[in-house]
Amino acid sequence: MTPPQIYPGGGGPSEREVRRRRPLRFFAAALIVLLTFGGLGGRLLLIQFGATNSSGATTEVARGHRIVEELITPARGLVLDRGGRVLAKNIAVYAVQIRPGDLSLTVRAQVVKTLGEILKMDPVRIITLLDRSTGSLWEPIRIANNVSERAARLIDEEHASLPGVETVVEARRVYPYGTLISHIVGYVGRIDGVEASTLAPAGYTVVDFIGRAGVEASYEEALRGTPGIRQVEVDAKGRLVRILGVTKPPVDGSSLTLTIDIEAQQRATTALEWGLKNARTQEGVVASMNPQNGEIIAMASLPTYDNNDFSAGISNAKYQKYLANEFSPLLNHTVGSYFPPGSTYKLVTYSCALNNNLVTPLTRFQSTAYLEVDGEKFYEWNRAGFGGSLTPSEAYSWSSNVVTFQLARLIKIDRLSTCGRQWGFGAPTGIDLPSEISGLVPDQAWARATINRGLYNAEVLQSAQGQGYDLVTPIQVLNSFAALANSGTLWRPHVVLSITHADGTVTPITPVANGDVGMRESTYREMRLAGRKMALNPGPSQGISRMPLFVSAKSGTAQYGVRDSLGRLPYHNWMGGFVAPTNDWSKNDSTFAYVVFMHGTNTAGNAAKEVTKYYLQLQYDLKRDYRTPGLLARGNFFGE
Amino acid sequence: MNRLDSPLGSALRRVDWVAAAAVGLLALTGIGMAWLNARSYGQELLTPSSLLVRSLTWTLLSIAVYSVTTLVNWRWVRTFAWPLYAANILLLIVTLIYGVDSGGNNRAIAIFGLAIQSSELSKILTLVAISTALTRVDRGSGGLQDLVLAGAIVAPPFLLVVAQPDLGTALVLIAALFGALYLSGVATRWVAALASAVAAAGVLAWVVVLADYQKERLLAFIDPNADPAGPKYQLLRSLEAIRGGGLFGAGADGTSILTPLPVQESDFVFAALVRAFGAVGGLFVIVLLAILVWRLVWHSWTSPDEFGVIFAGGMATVILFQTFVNIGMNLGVAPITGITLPFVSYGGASAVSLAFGLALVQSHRVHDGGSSPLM
Repeated sequence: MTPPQIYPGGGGPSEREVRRRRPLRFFAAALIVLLTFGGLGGRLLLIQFGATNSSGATTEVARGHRIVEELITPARGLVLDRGGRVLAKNIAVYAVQIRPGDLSLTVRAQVVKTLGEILKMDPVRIITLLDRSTGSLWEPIRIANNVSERAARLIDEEHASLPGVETVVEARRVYPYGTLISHIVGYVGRIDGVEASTLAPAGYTVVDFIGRAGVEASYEEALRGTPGIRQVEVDAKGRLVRILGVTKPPVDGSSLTLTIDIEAQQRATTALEWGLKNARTQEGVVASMNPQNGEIIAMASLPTYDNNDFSAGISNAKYQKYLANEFSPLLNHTVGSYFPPGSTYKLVTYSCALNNNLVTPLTRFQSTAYLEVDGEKFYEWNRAGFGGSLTPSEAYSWSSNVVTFQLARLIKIDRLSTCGRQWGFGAPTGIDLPSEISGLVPDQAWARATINRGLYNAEVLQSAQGQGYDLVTPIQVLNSFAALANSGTLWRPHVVLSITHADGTVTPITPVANGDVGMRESTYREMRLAGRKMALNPGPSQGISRMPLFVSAKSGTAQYGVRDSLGRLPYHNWMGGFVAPTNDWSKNDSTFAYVVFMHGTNTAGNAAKEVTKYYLQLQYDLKRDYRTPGLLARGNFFGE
Repeated sequence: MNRLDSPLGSALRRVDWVAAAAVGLLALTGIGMAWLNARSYGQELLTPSSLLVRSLTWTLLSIAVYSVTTLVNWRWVRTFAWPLYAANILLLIVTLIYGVDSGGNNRAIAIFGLAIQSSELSKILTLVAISTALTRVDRGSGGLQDLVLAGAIVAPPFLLVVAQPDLGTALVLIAALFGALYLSGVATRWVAALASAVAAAGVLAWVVVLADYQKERLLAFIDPNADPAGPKYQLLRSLEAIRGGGLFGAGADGTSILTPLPVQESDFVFAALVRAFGAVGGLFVIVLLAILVWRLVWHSWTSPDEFGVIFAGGMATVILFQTFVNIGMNLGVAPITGITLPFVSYGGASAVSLAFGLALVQSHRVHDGGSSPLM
């Protein structure tokens, strides 16, 4: 064999040398070179990126190490709006903690100094955190949250010179839209010690998070997923040494798609914020739903809170501030608060009279300044009456109290409370949000049980116009107008449209009818028309009549609380109804029902009507501005 | 006359620039690591005693030695092989008597303020002697007499180095002996016989000669977790540093606030490098060394004379062995011995000696033996 001639002009090796050369040995040499360097490179990559237990180390079970099974927390599902925008997601955050028991006092100063440099933290602050803790020596003390990945890496690597210091990775819930939709999305919080024991069978531990509000709470099971199990080696102190393997992989949580589009939510919020600001009050609700299937279109409840405050671990000061606010920002007033419904409850009274054949649509009632019952005068809200006689729908459109009282005397309390319950009052709507309350439909049985007497006639009259003992939630009012629009179906309102599972399959939420009002079609039609009359009545409609929409409406003013020095009561404003696609009120094809509630407004006009107009003009993209901000000035002239 | 036809131009054309570039990049990496380590140890960078300045000094010296040796005809070295061998033995004896501990296992004698580790130079000079001797022997067989002669040449420096005690360099000498014999064509059975003898001597040494701390170091890599607080601590730290480096490392700034690794300027320089520059940095150095070794093997294979075959092969073995043991101990696959990573470790005399040896291979190529008969 002749070796290659690489030396130009030079004679190659002599024949003797060529004979003595052994090509095989050079091939062997080449192979050794290749294997050595390839082996070193491979080993380097294996140490860095391979499984931990291939690092040339053997298990140390004999040295007090134990193998234990540990739960693997699955990734929590996302929450998306109707258009697929992310409303709740997870980010990984690192946190640094110290177990004081592993940190001897002799090296503490040095460790704290090094840690301070890595975390860019004042060492004095770390010392303070350590010294302030009164817990067990082995209970880790949180030094820093939201640590950068680089810093966490450095600390991990330095653990030989940072005894007692450890890093943990946590999934942090982030809510990109924060306050805008926090009442619907809710938030997660860490499980506390008391809950941990009751939740333990479901696989929760004290380090886990659980939904606390909104769909985070009501869909906790779907969002959470199924925890997996892994085997880990821990040392004698129970600290993780290495991960040995996954026994059962976790199934990540399902994602929720809401029925709410964030832009629709923004419209409701904008209208409500404007109204509250101009009426100089703070609490209110704007909500809308599709009467055809119970899907919530928007649900704004103010004041609100930033759910990101909670997922990051809320400071006590901030939490106390939320709690101290008299308007309860942590409460979704749409489902979690009840108020007297005021005249919006006249839907119940008038439909009840019609459906029980106590009146006909053409029956006329005298509109007088007051009605005397048991020697007491009950005044019309304008203290004058509306002149002459009124049909029920005309009275409804004026929101006449005197005619309502006359109807109430015909209906009597038993039928009235039955009709109230038929429209869904007095019971939760079953919406897929936590903390919904029932409200109250008073009847004789309730009165005897609660106030130890029957209801007086005057109280029955009050009940017929949504005052007295009547208590409703805004979602119930919304649901009653949705049922009016769809001819009687009381949907279980829902904010979740579909659930997307970890494997990609989608389960749509099927609309569920929670009940039926059970009245005649003619009654619904007459009441839809009555609402339309109200919306067209130039005075009471407060300008809605001018809007190019087929709005059916019922307003309400509900007094509450205690009289002021002039004998006036503060009041809330309500507005509820729906928008029909055509002017044919015999049809039940509306896809938009709404409710507006304004707490403690005491405004010259009905603040809820102003917000309704603004909300509708935003929702239907009307070019003209129908608002009349002057009516949001302080007034309190209603003596209803 | 074309410039390239001048003797210098002709020489420059024959230089193996790939190997030279690999050496240059490794030396640059070494300077970078010296800078990083100086920062890591908290040294003032521009003082005469800082790692960086000392490393630069040695690197400049290495460049000078490399350049001059490349241009000088290798035959001069071969001619003076035996006087150089004798001087080397003498230097080792002087070191043994007057040398001071240089921090690792190597003993050094101070010349002009620089610590000279004579054991490093002995690797090259012994290899020169072996190559010269085996070339001169008229060997029809490539048999026993080659083996005996080579063994006789290696024995004195080997024993003197072991006595220092510099176990690492002694092992390099043995490896070089094997590489040279194997590539020079000595019959397999004799190489195998020598291997058995060395193994037997190793067992004997384990029982009789080695100190407990040396045994502990040698065994540490088998199970570094056994006693994290003890001598295995070094390897554990090394493995952690490598794992912590990730793909791109913590960077120079990130590294500067980390606790230095044990002997991170020489023994654990590779772990420090991976910690700072990640797997990318580690693979870069591995690839450079692979290129260098491959070029040496290629020189050996294509050498027109016996000296080139043996010497280049021996040098390839030296670099390969040092690389394997140094990186291997960083990665927990080889025992912890005080062997430097060629040019990347702060090795002082190690870098200069290797530069001399590698330049001799260059010189052999430049002044190729083909045009003149063997001496």
